[in-house]
Amino acid sequence: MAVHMRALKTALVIASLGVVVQCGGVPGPRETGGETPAAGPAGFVAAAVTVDPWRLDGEPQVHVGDALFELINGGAELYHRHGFVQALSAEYADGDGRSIALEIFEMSNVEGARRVFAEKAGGSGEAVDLGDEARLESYYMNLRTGPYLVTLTGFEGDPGTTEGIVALAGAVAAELGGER
Amino acid sequence: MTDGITRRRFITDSAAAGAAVTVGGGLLGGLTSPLVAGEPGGPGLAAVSGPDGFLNTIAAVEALGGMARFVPKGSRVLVNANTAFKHRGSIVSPEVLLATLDLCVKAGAAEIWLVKGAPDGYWGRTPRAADHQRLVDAARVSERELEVVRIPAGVALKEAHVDRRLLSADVLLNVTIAKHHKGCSFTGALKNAMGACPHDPTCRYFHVGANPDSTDWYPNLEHMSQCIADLNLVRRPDLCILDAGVILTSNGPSGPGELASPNAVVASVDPVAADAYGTRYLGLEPAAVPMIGKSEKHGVGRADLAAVGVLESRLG
Repeated sequence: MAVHMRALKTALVIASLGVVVQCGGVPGPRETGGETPAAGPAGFVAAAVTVDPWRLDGEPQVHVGDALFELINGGAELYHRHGFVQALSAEYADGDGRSIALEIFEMSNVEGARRVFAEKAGGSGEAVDLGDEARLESYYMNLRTGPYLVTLTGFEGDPGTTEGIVALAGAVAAELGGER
Repeated sequence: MTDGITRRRFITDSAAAGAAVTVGGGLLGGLTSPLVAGEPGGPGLAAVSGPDGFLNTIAAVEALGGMARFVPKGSRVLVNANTAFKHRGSIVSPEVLLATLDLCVKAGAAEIWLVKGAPDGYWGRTPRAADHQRLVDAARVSERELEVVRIPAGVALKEAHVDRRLLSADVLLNVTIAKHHKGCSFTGALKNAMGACPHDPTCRYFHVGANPDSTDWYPNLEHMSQCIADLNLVRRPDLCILDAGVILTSNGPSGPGELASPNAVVASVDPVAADAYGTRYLGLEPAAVPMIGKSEKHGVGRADLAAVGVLESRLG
């Protein structure tokens, strides 16, 4: 997959990358029989692409295993239940006071990602033709592409932020690839 | 502007029906049936609504008698603020936290410690941050050194790992947000006690302790609710501040999800009362949130808001 290639070109990034790894059992069994995790933390971070005028604000963080609980507390349960592998979190700023948070969750297989997407996004919001499925809400977007779940959240719901969410979602989805 | 506050004369909602009292004309002007806050018979809970979370917070605390009532000069203050997430409506607004720090500094706190640091970009979300950088700098983040504390009266939780400052600080402020929680329906002051505990082992036990083999992170609401009530026996906050400005009403605790904008701040000396009051922002009754009843049974506080004494006011 494309993400394997990114593992090479981002090998140097790993030295400065914040990787949070916490070992220990998860509360429930992960789904089995799915795809092999697509990339290590170094390759994963390359998905935090930039689109003008949105620039990364700080270093992206990769969270592996139970470290997800430190990131989103009880919200981690949903992901662990369906085969969580690793997550990336990053912040963007447009230089004009707007900010967008990016979260990418890699699941062990596509079916697990589909189930999480269905629970997170439901049928609400506006369907957007990005990735394999995407829903745009007033200030955030949920997107799935292959085994990846992407959430982009604006601090505000103004048109400039929404445009940024859509632009970044397209770029991230293209970087990650998917089923198509 | 603060003249109305420093008079410390307020209206209590003594009616069991809990009719709202709106105070108009300035910060807390236009008063009737005045009562001295902080004295016997004064309100135990104040809810202030208005467009500015910073001012709402100051007014709510002043309505209870002012921060000096809770933070003696020279004291070491631990602020357990829910800043664990990043999305809108999932964490305490920086306006509310800044106001809390401002009040602590003005009360003469010698040390102010935050249980957890704020997420990246947090302080940039308020235009007041630059002006109040001294407040941001005044609060240090606890080193997260843990102590094991026994809870003899605990029903489900007999011991817990907690931030050592929870035990050693002179003053504990619980600053949290009212919001949806997938496991508990509602989270506010009582559940925020978990913020002073590590995920593993203590918080993990809350979730799966009753059934470690469960595939569900919320397999047993009764167990989790009892653990939360038990944990609140360790140390009752001196003051609870509940942000109900912009709150998650779905996909909690982390979001993103649907938002509501009550534009209110609740301050209370009683975490049970704070949550019992706060459930209304999620359209719930206190009885629908088991941790409230279990905490009341422990004697942590009272859910009977008429007995606690409620002041409701509006700014702006």
